[in-house]
Amino acid sequence: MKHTPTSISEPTWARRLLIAFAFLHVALLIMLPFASVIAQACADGMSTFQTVFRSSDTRHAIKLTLLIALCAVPLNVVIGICLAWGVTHLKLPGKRLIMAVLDLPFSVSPVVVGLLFILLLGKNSPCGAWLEAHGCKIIFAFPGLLLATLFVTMPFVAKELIPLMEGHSRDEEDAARLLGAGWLRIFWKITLPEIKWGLLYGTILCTARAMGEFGAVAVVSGNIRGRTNTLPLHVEALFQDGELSAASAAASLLALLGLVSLAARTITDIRKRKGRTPVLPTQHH
Amino acid sequence: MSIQVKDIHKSYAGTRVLNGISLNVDDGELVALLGPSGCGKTTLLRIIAGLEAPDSGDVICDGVSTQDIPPSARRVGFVFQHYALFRHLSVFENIAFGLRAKPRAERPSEEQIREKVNFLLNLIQLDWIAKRLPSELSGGQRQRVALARVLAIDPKYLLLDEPFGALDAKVRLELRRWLRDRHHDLGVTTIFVTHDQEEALDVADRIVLVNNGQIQQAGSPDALYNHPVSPFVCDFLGFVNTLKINGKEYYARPHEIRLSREATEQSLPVVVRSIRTAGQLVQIELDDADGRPFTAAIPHEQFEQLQAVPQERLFASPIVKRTFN
Amino acid sequence: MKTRLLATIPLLLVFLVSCSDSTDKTPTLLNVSYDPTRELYKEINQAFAAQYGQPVHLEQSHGGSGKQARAVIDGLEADVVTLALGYDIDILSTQAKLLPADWQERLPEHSTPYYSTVVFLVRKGNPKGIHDWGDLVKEGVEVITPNPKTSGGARWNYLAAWAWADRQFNHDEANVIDYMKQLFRHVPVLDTGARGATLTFAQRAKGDVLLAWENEALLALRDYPKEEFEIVCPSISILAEPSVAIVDANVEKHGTQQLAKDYLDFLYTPAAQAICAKHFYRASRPQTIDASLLVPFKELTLVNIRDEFGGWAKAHAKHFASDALFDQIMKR
Repeated sequence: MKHTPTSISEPTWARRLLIAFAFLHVALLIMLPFASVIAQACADGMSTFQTVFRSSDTRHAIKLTLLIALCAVPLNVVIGICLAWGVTHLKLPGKRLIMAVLDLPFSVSPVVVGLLFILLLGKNSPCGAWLEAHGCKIIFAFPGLLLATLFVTMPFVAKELIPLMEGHSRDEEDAARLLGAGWLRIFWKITLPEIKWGLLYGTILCTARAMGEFGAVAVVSGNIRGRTNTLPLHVEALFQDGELSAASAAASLLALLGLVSLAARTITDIRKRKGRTPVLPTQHH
Repeated sequence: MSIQVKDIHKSYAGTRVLNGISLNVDDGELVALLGPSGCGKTTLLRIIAGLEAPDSGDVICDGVSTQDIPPSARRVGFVFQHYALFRHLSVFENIAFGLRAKPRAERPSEEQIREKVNFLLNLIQLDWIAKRLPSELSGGQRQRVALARVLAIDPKYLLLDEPFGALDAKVRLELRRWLRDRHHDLGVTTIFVTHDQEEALDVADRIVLVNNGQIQQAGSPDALYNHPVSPFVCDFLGFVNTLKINGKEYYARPHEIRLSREATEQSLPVVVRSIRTAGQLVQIELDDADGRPFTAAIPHEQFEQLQAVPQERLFASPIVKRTFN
Repeated sequence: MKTRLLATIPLLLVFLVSCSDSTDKTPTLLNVSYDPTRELYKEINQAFAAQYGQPVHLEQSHGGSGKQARAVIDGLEADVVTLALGYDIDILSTQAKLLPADWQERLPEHSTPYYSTVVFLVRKGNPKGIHDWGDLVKEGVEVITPNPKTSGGARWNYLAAWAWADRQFNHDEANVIDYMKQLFRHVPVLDTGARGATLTFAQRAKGDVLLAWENEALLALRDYPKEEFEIVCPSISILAEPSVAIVDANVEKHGTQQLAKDYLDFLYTPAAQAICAKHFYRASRPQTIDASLLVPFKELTLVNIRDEFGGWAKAHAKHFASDALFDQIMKR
């Protein structure tokens, strides 16, 4: 019998089996539901899509979802950059606390986040009562939806940037400062080019989540069709109405958005890693 | 520009890093901050640059306290250990950075910038790679670009952190000489940090030896090498033997030991362990009566006369009677 | 990068401005309702708007009945509520003082313009021979009903079963509880909502009998002709009364008192009553509409919550509160 030299990897059959298992897993858990949504949507022909996307409620839901994302994402990008910069550049006493708070939206169920906002800003809270007395409606209106989305998507940019900012560029920033550059110039010319792919990656993650968020938004929405229903909520509403193919048609739009962001993510991730190869490992003082 | 460092103290999280450092650097001087790693020399350099604030003490430039001057306004030329070149900017743009960052009123025109950068590129003999990115340069080239980048802002003084630390031996030697020549041409007050005593001895006008956050000795290379004030200084600046003769400890470098067949009043009986004749001096490994090893280095002519062989008994005595107490 | 980021700022401003300028002067009415009434109110709203003489904007919000009530308490500014149970409107009065306690007496028919009841939906041919509540606990019968803790509809199911058992066992509560325990042992899954239970039974083909609101059952007959179900009416069932009310605090704030009143009054008109019947709700004024619309509704004995259980507050405390009877029944 031919004896192969001691190999560092598993036998071929085991590797093949593992790969097959991985593919099967992906197929069953991701591709199958995805395909079934599309199939369900197309079950009654393309007319389903036409009716669904012609309905004013759906259109409003799409508009609302895009509007929320358009407001939440830039805000979170700015907040995320500030947070990451602060955490990595300042000797803050509450640094650990900030990091823990950044984890909060990931670790707490979105539904709890929604309820938290209701308890905090709902009509029966002192804060909410004051706001309402001054004609400011937060919960069950656009600001509430935005707040919930902002909260849930807050960590994406900051979390992506903190390791990048921690990794290097401190010496470069110091060098720029000693060459006479102000903080704004340092940020635009030195920090931003260093983190741009990470920033883009975080922004895409943030956008995808902002458009797909269900739990937190469901609680503060009030489900008013044509006013406070976002696209994911609208999908749920259509499903509850038993309009399965309509729900699937709307859902496939969400799935499409997901696919687009997945593609964008993959591309930026590759770019990000390329951009990360350092000129030389930097030593910290 | 003269620099006066006055009684600097600095701690990180309870650990004393600098413990009362005072230092004067004259205009045009080239000073080496020498010390083992972790002795606080880099921290001192960063404090002089304004990148860190001391807990107490002050840095005075030309008689003016720098306490309230932000680093961006100090016009310090700081070359980082790993150069900290802007990796997404070309060599040209790296060098032009400081000129473009000037306040609008002082900012030179695009043409002036080009002229100045080209002048500096010529100075560092790298005008042919102006368009490259830092990642496409060799270590020595990066070092020179980093230097040109800080020279662009006509710095009042230069601070170099381990300027040759990341280079291989041959390039290091070349660049050392180059740096000394540039300093000679430009006459800019320069402080550089190193842990390599040979480098300090070779380049600096004056060496400041730092250990445990304090200055151990400051003076010319000759003063430190030949007249060290403590065993630490003596030991740090080159290999040194301790010879115990009549209860006294003598510190002698290998070439400061005389070997003979006759005992004198101040000599030590020794046994020859091994002999290496390759090199400028003949290296002889010896053991004293207690079996403690030390090394002597004698010129070839002397060795010819001595004709020592391994296992032979000899007497060793220090030429320079250097003791500390 | 720089320009791209900067470009988003004016865009953002434009959008913020455009979304805040909803200075539409058309009177708006928000009807907060429960899940299965969307199609019903969609049609009613069209009919109401068509006959109302001035332009109105009618908005609908649907969700679980209890959840919707909670949202109104927390500030969802409903002008009118049309919920699955009177109890859910009661709490608007008791917990948030949004409307007076006697709200149920302000409109005809106990503020119930349409009602329904609980029936059995079985598979074609009724293979398990299910005819009445007693048959549900026969060997091998699987019953589908949602969880009374989360679903208003399921509470009606529960109470209907209780009402039958109460008569069956001559008000001997120990025997009634015993029957209820047996009944829930025949429930393989407790869905959280009525729609979920219907999907479980109809789409996933689980269970032998679905306890359903009559309108849901009739809808299922219409929507799943291929599956072939049939409806079985038990000997006794409950009068399920979805209730409607004006939320006084909110209409005063919005200045929509008259509009809200006109809207709810409209529900009692022959036109709206006919729409209710078309959506398989029993009209509370059947004499005003075309007899052909009443064909699907079988005659059956119905008990009502007031007489049988002393009203919703009492029924809730006795059966559905924490550690009340339902919790005990579910304990093994």
